[in-house]
Amino acid sequence: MKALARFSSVPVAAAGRTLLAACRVVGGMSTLQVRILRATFSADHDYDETLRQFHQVGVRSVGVVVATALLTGAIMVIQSGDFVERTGATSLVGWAAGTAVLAEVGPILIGLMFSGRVGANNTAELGAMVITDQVDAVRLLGLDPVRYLAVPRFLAMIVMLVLLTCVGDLFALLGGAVTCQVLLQIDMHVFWQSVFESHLLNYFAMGLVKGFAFGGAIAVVSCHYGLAVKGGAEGLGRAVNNSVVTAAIAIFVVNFVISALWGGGG
Amino acid sequence: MGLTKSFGDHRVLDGVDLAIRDGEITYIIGTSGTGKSVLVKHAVGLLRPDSGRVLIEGTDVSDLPERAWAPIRRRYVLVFQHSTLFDSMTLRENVALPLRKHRGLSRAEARERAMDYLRLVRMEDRADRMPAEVGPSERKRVAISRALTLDPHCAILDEPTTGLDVIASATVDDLIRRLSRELGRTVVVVSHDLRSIFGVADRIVFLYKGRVWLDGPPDVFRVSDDPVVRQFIQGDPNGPIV
Ligand SMILES: Nc1ncnc2c1ncn2[C@@H]1O[C@H](COP(=O)(O)OP(=O)(O)O)[C@@H](O)[C@H]1O
Ligand SMILES: [Mg+2]
Repeated sequence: MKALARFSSVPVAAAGRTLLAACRVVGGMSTLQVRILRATFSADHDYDETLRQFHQVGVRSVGVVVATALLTGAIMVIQSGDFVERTGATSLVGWAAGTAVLAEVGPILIGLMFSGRVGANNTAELGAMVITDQVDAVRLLGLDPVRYLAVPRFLAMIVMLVLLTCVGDLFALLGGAVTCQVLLQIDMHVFWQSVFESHLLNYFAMGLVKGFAFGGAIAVVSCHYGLAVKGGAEGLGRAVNNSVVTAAIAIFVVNFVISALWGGGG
Repeated sequence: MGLTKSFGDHRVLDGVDLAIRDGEITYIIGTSGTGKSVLVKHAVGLLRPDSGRVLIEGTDVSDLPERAWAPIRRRYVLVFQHSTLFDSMTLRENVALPLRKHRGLSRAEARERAMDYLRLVRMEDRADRMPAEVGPSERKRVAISRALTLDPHCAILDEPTTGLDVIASATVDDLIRRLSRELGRTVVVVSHDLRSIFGVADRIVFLYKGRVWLDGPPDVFRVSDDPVVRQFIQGDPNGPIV
């Protein structure tokens, strides 16, 4: 009986510890989220730092987003090409590829790439600032690290990811159109016409809302892990890793919630 | 007062009693790792005591929340022993930042004023370089000038002259003297640099084994026959300090 109790307590204790750790992370992030929001809606922003973040975030991510979008559009067309060929419904190609790209696959892939590029970099940058005491230096100058460091990043990531989702949508459709013409031998005009006739505005809007939400989630997650770095270079590596994994999970959860709430409507 | 602080099992401060007197230049000395940096971080709320109290101008600040520290930190500035300049900004932007945030200066005005502070530490000719493009000794001096932009009542400098050449050290020593004598500021300096200790200090506090071992004006240290103090001052490899 005693042996049994000991045996069973090992995984229970481990699960308990994991749960506790998860609660701590979620708790820490919620606190940060609240502090960021409160600081965002108060006056006194640091425009210099915000501007620099916009610039950095934009420069870093445009390339990967365009590349991802082009290929995503192409793949979605190839996927729906099979269905189009079998049914001969060439006029549906734009609708099939377009809805998927604008509402689901596009925002998710762009969000993940953005997280891997900008989010990871943000965690690394803030973590390095913690390790070299630059975050303490912010506090010693009588400034609040959340207000001065996290808020500009939060704003930059949200705005940039929404803009990038627009840009990405454009390039995804472009990639789809070219693929239509070259691989499926369907005239590009059919694709464009199909896109425009499908009234994809609703899906496009849904994609932008997702871009907005993903940007906020990536910012909170990456700032949290960056500002919480402990234990030198090794801790920094761990933080970047955790940040990317957690942001990916957050993206899928947020995506599910938005898709479910939005409903099927088109 | 009666300050103790441990990291894990390692008790770094073991009942430090120390009162800094206004307007004086106080040097805190001691071997590496005795907890000088840990001690001064308590004065600005970066570390909280395990037991004992920290009083600032008669007010107990030991349990103040982070929010309440911001105004105190503008009156009591701490400069770390290693540079904490923001490496995404030029030296001048580093110095301009607190001017912009706390003095309500425009960006252009702040950049202009920043030059005055850089001049204090003779760094005006390298103002537009990035921190990574200058040496550690230059970064340290710029960090001091950045802290002084807050026009503090008291400046706490952690090893401001360690690693600086003789001339740069003399510039910093000079600055410390001017802060105290001309501007009436209180200055606390953590240092190993005997030349500046005996050249500048009004009072020396010798930290050893987590406590204040000896406390007094430089003359007390010159004539002290305490073996620990003698060994430290003479830099003797043999003695009670190992
Ligand atoms: N954040 C910390 N975590 C664990 N140990 C620390 C920390 N900060 C300082 N210490 C330890 O406290 C002791 C005193 O450090 P410090 O105050 O930096 O010495 P010094 O007198 O050279 O400035 C050292 O042994 C150091 O290892
Ligand atoms: Mg030290």
